[in-house]
Amino acid sequence: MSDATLGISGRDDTLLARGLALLPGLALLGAIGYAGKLTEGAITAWGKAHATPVPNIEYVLWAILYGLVIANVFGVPRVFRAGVATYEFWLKLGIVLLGVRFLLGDVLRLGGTSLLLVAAELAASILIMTWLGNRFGLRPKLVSLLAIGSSICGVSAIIAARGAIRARDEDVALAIGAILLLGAASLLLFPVIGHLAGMGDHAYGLWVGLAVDNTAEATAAGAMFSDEAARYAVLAKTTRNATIGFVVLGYALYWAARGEGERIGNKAAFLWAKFPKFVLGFLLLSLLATLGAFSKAQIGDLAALSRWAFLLTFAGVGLSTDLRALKAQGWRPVTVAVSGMAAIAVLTFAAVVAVERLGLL
Amino acid sequence: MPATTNARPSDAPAAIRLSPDWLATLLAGVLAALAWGGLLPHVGW
Repeated sequence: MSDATLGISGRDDTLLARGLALLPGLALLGAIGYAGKLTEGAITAWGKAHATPVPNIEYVLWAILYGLVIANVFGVPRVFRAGVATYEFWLKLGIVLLGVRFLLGDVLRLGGTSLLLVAAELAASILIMTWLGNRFGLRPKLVSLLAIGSSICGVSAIIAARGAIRARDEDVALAIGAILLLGAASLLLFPVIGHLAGMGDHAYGLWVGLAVDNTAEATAAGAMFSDEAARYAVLAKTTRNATIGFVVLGYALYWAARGEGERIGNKAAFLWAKFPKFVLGFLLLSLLATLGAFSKAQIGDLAALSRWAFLLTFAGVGLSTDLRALKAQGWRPVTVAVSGMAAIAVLTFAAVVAVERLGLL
Repeated sequence: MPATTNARPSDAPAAIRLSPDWLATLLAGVLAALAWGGLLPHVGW
């Protein structure tokens, strides 16, 4: 997740002006997300009315598609951009609220299993990306960014590492472009592969959480399969996100030793600064739910709010994906990213299937 | 390049800046408190 800050100014007029500036974009997110939901409902109703079996295409895909078409055919007018850019905030809110649907014991057990797989995935991703990047002659810092992006948290990890390893803006843009390109592709491919392979909700969710790099796309790819798969995807991805500080710290120390990175003073402070704090909110709500603080109806309400927050997120994913910018990335970084992430997807698939067979899910 | 974050650096003093992570946690906490207190209206899907 990113470290950017929301400015809450003491001056009411500034706060009010900023709030108002968000409204058009928020309305657009809501309209597109809701249109996706209506489309899903309309298709299901048509199938029922005509007694015709129709594939259940989740609103997630429609919301992203509508957003993609609007952004890439018409463009997003300036007045909407500030509000549209809040989509990662809604993602975080949705994840924290989703905490009420996890018992802390499940979080610890699955988080533990996820953590083992995350450790293996981190090592494999870094090795594969570094080997491929060097083989294709990419600049060393671009290789570091691709390895960081593919091993942890996609775009946010790259942004977190940008300052720490003093990467060039051009390399940051290339790495982000490659991650987003693959995120878009994974939305289409992962649910299809999951269904073809006959994966269960838990195994599929865990796989998506491990293999899809950007949190929004991982959540969306999970939700396209099922609600339960989305829960597991979020849990696995959140576990992965929690390791962001360690990996960025490792790379920062590596580049600092070569005189080309940020000098690290207090390592604990560095880790805390990079830690995605919303994970704490997720754990807190999970703890409260485990202690029985909420009734079944209250959990249902908070879980529904989480889905509404995700609905805004998915509309934002589509609206924020600029296909022309992705196309302009150049073939070498994209080749490295595609081959590396395909290899990681295969490895994590095998690991998840093995874990499932061992009865650890 | 697509937008990748919901926020941008502000000129507000550091002491009163709130990161999206904390803001999301705070808002979720308020919503959970409202639900716990029976003040959150029923939310459908």
